[in-house]
Amino acid sequence: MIFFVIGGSGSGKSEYAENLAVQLKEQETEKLVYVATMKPLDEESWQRIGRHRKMRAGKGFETRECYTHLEQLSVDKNEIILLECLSNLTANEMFSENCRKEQAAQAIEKGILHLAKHCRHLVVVGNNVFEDGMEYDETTMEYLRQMAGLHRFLGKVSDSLTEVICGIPVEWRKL
Amino acid sequence: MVKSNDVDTAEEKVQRKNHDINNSGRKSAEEKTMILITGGAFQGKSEMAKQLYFAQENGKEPLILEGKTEEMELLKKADIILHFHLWIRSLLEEGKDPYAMTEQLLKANPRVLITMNQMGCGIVPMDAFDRKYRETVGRIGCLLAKQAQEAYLVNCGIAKRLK
Repeated sequence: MIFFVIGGSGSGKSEYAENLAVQLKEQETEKLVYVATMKPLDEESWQRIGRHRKMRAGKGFETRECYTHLEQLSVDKNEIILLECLSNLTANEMFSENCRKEQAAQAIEKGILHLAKHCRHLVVVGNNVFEDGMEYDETTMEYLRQMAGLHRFLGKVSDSLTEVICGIPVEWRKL
Repeated sequence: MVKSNDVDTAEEKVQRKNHDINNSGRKSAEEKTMILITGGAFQGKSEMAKQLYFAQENGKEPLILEGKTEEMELLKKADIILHFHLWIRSLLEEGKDPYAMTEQLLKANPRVLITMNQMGCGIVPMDAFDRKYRETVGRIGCLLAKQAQEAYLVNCGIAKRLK
């Protein structure tokens, strides 16, 4: 099943998504996998990644890196995948080397369906960055449009959709 | 329950979407009423506006206008006005009073369906006009919601009925 968790910055969406993935694990044979999408570019990001990795290790997650080409990530039917997050992935697919540029959202949709098809459960985390009313430069607007396309896509294919506000889950689609 | 390795077919998705609309508490045979649809940018408000319109007015082709460019006299005849915040913006730019104009519009067209962006959840803009614009949109949103018989919040293409 596909679970989509969205929220603003500091809303508690990551913690909620992690706990959700942990709860989805029903059997010992099932494995928790965290798909990390943030490219470490400097010392600060390495430190942040290290801290998060430690936090998740305590919850039993294995980390698997994926910056682009999600559709090629190897997954197993016993795995519960936590994919965090769409905003990083979209930026990587639009702006980094060997990326899919204007086909970014399309490529990521394919990747999400690939994961959902081959894993036990998929939890996707998204960033609600659409309610500030700002008009940005065209590159940023295109980034927002591509990401919003992915949000609407997940609005269709997800079995459960939750918005986290101040750590409180608000259900948009109940399982 | 859906199996994890089953990706839904298009028909199942449509069924689910209809299910979501019905579950939002709306009676499909209701009389035509004023509706407000709000939500973040690019979340599927326009699409939802058309769906709600067709649920109400079977078969009739709606007059859909963009808030950005249309004149008052045209807007008074519209079935659906999209991007209402952009109308407010152009009124402010022309030095007109968007509150009075909105009231005038709703008086002449009390059954209109309006979509408008949620835009108040960011940093206070540096520019005075942008600050005024953002706040006016928020406040007119409150007025519209007060007048509307139905109000919806759209996120990821899903509508949640607020009123």
